[in-house]
Amino acid sequence: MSTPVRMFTMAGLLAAVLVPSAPAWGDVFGPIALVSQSPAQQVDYAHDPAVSADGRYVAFDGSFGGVTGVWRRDLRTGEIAAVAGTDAELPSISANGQFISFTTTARLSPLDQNKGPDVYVRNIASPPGEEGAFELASAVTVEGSTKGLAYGYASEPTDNRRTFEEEHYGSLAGGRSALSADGRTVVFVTSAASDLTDPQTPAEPITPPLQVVVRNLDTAETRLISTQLGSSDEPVSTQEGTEVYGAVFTGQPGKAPAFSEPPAYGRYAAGPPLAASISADGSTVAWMGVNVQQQATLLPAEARSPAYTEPLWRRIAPGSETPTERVTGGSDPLDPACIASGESSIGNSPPPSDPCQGPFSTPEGSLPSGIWAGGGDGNFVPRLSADGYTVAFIARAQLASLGEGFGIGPDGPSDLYVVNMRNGHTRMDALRQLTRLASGNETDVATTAAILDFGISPDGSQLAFSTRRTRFVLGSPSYVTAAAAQAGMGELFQVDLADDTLTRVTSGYEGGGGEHPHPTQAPGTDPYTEGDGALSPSFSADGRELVFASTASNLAFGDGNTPSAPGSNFDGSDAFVVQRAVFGENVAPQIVSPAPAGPALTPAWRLSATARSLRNGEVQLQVRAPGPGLLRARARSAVRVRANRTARRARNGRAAAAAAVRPSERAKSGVATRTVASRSARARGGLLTLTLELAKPFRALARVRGGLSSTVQLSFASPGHPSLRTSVEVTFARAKKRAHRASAGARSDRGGVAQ
Amino acid sequence: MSLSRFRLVLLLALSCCALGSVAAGFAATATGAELSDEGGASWQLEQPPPPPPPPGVTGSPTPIGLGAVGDIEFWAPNRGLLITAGNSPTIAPGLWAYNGQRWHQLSTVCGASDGRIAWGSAKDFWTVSDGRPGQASGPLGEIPPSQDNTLCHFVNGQVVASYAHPAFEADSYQAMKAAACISSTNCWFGGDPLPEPLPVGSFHLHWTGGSPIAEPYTEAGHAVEDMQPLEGRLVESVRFAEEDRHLVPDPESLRVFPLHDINAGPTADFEGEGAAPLYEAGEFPSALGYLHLSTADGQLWGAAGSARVTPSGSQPGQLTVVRYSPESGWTQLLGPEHPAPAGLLEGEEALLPEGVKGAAVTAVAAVPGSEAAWVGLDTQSDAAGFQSAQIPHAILARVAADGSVSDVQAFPSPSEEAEGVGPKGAAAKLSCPAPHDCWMTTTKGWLFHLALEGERTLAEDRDPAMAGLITFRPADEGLPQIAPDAPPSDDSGLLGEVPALPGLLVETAPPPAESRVNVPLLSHLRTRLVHGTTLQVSFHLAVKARVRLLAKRGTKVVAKTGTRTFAAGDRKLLLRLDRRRWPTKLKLETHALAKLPTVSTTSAGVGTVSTGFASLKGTPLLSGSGLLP
Repeated sequence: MSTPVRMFTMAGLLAAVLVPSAPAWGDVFGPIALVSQSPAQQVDYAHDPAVSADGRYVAFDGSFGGVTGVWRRDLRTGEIAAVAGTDAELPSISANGQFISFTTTARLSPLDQNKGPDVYVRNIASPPGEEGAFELASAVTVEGSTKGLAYGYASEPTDNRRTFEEEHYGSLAGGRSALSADGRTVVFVTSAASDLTDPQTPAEPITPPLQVVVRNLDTAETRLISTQLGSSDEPVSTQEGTEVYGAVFTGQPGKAPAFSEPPAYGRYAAGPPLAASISADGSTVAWMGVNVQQQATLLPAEARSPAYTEPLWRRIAPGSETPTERVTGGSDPLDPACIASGESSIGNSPPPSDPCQGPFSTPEGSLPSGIWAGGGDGNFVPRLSADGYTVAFIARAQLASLGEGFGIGPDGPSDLYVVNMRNGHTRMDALRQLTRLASGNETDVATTAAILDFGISPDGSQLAFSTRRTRFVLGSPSYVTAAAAQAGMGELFQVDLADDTLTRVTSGYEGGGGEHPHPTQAPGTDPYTEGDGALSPSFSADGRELVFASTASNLAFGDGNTPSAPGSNFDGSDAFVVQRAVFGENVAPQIVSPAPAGPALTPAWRLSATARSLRNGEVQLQVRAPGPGLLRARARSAVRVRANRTARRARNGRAAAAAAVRPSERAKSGVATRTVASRSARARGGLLTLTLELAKPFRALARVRGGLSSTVQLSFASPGHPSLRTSVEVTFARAKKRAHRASAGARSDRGGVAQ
Repeated sequence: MSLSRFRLVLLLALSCCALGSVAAGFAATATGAELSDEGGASWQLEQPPPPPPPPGVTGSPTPIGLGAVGDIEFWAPNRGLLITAGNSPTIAPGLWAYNGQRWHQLSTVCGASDGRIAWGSAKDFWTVSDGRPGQASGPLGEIPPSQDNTLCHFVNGQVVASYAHPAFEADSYQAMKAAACISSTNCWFGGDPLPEPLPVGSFHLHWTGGSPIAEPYTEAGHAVEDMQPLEGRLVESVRFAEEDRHLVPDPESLRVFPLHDINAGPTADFEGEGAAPLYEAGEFPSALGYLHLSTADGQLWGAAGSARVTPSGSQPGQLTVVRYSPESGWTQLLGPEHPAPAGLLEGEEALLPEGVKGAAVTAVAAVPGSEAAWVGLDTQSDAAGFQSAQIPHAILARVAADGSVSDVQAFPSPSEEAEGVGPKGAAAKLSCPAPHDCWMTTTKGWLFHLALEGERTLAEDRDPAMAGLITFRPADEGLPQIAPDAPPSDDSGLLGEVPALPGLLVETAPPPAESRVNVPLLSHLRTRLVHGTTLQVSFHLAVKARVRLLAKRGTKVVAKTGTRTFAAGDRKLLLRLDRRRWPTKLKLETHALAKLPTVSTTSAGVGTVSTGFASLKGTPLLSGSGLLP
């Protein structure tokens, strides 16, 4: 590369570096405000908050004024309105806050004819008792007539267990993500056999439990979502002994969880809710599935146990309907490379390079297997963006690309992931890991604590999750908050996918992490449990309001419902809101300097010279002239002269002679500067060699030891150009003949002055 | 319809038509029923707002519980105190004061898990408070106890003394549950039984103006739970427990003294009081809780409930209220001889599953001028500290001197509940400073006030001693002072984790204590050589002193000045040195001839008190502060 080209390239690189890049700072959150209080009193405790898309209303379950149930707080007025009482729990809220879904065993509609839990939608615009105030969502409509689902149970009617089953098994809806934005479409899961597919014969419900169901309240249509692959209405079910596997993972293999009152948050993870998610536009449903082989496409010979778990996804909007698809998993039979390979199965531990290997290593082993291998703490219900195409989930399985990872195995602590479900991506390409274990020490809370709960913003650009972990080792997203010195209670974190940052959201109002009173502990004793801290994050539509629950008492001043010692349901949990500061487009002015001028194509008008002394007492000048012109060289030296004669001879212009000083006149001599040599030459440009010889009166001085030092002044004149001058220091020194070195030296000593 | 179902329906109805009132606040609008036996007074929730927030933090007007209130005591109707464990971090452990108009935070120090207050005079009171962190662990790594085992003495609006004792020692302070003063210079504090291997006894501290002195009650080893002044003496009550130690192998042979008299005097003078009629035949003393005590108009009231667990072989205890008056002596108003009537709760029996008879007693307050007392009741499980699924209601019973129970009320009142006020916890402490003027605190730290309408506020007590905020607690007398092992505050400016709230588990650190140190005798020490061999040492003397300069080469003195006596001020000494015996060390010996002045360590510029060393250019070090004989 030529020099000019190199210079232009460098200039281009500099300019590129100066182009503004994406900001490297994390999101900024304002002070945390207490939601679960009215102007007059704080709630006794609050769990599972969900914020409306407009950011105005927050629904939560808990106890207010000693009354348990679901409540709605208006963030603008501060009012808290009762939604439903007794054991109502796990609310989801519509975009405008008018509709709130929940689960309760209370019979709030005459259509509800069972003792078990059912899913309702409350229209808060209608007072209780008015028609339409409570709409039963776990219902079916046959020939224009709507009835509540009837449930069937395994035990005989006379069995002592029958009463318990009747009161604890039915239909359940999850918190935050069970209701569409318009509040008219609800997704729920059955925990008992139902008459969903045969409503004409409610006495013998044949639809197996653990099915995903969507009901549209406007069209009065109830639809089984968890159908067998290739079937439009065949529910998913497998029975292995006493264990029944439906379509939805329950947290414990083969068993449906009994409905119960919301547990204290310290024990939250002991019973993750049985639920599915629906996107805000009502187009998509997702759930943590079991019986995956019945629901979605596996490799032709891929053998998975019914307890194998994977997040499943299905679009249900007319026009874009799909069969149930795998969000991620241990294999990817639809990967073109896998199809091309012709593989029909993968082994229990295939190499990551296997073209059919999915993103996760999911060996069959202890049950449950798959993505939620080993079971354990955490709300594993996948969450959807508003359009349903972005799925967030947590997984205990390890990425296949990490090999053995830290040696934790296939059922390590959970991490958070997000997946793009639009067409054109392999499962590997569509996946993005957002957290990763920081060590292999599963007892080290700071590095391996589980991700317990999470949420995704409607636009899919933000995620929030809760964990006690304090070390986040992924560079993308980059953890931009100062890490806590040690793990405390569960904190809330936010991932901004656009900025690629990870920010801690929760902190005490006077700094530090979340805290609440607890008995004095011995040094080194962990006073907190999993689930103690922040949970249930929920975003408004624009992602500015982030609502969550926490048992911490120091997030907002005035939080006074935390018991001094944890116990029972009085965990002091509250709902909080924090606003994300959104900064407008305010790019600082960027100034890119112009590229440096290119190299001059004509040489500079410059005179340069070097000199060397010749052995004969002359000086040879090498002069580089910029062009044609007249070059003059004049050497001037300081020489000793007689004073009286110097002035006179100087006046006569005989300067050279003035240097000659007779020995008798030394006492009257002085030092003066004289031109000792000169030369002119016509230059043609380029290098020119000139030889200067001392004028005759000074020639003897070249023989003096050390020679005669002189300054050669060079001038160059060329028509149409400025005159140039330069000078160079030279020495006129004549080498002595070896044979006469001694006598020459003597003469030199004597002849320090020119004769 | 069950109570909870009724309230749900009520709230659902309210949600559509009364939300405005819910939003407007109800803490001080609803009142209970007017009580005819209290002259028409009524109970009302009167919760103070939270204290101001720290700078830069948004405050909250919503009232919250003040935390576990250990005691509430009044010197006058418009001068009251309560001590709380706090509701961290909004409510700091400490004291709140009532000035006739409102409750306000008085002290953010000397809070307690279950503290007590003892008034000595109008501006002089004591608190039983929690200890502070910093004590060493026990020999087996035990956490040192810190609950209710220290004392604070407040005088004229400040804590003038704090008393504690190192843990795990024979004379360590035990947790104290009772405090009372006979006079402003004679106060007693009683507490837990003495632990083994100490002799059998009950822990007591006695203060008569100096330091508190341990004067245990050695006749029995029961916990002292309450203490009240009565007619120039103190009466204390004790709790009988099966695990208590006894002086003799057969405790059945002992006469039971549930009350002790402590007579006024400079030394301990305990006397067992066994005249109160408490037990029925076959009832062990440990089947009955301890007597909560209250005095008014020269009468002493005692109330006890059934113990949570009835000892094997014993008849169960029951609600027992006794009264002593100089005229009639001890009278049992409720108890085995006069059982509490049934049906007192008027349909809200669910609030007290054991019924009034089997309930636990949490407090008693004699009502001045009425020959009656209010008694706080609670369920046995809640009183024992078990968390239930519901926040309990506060239940009070008004017992008259004739044994009649004229009122049993649950709080919040129905009218308050109708406005959405939820349960605020069981009745915890009671105090009645004047006729028809009583205060009740709940286990959640909420305040209910019995008062006549129009007399809910009184003339404001403007005494500065009770108006400010006390934030400083002096170092504990009796505890060795050690330097804190916590790192100093990070003022490096580097990014990092903001330190955790100090107020959650520990008391807010007081401002650095001031102490005084001596000014250094010698300062501003400078040296220089004059004419190459003469050493000039200049210095400043704080007081008149004798000074001598020694020049040593090794251990040998090669030059010295005579001992000179200088007045205070800038001075100098000259010493001729020998080039052939150039010193390697200089020593400036000083001896102060006057007492050195002192200066506060909080004064600017007081960072060091040592003279240190000055170097002599070219050669030796100069050491100062050597002593002259």
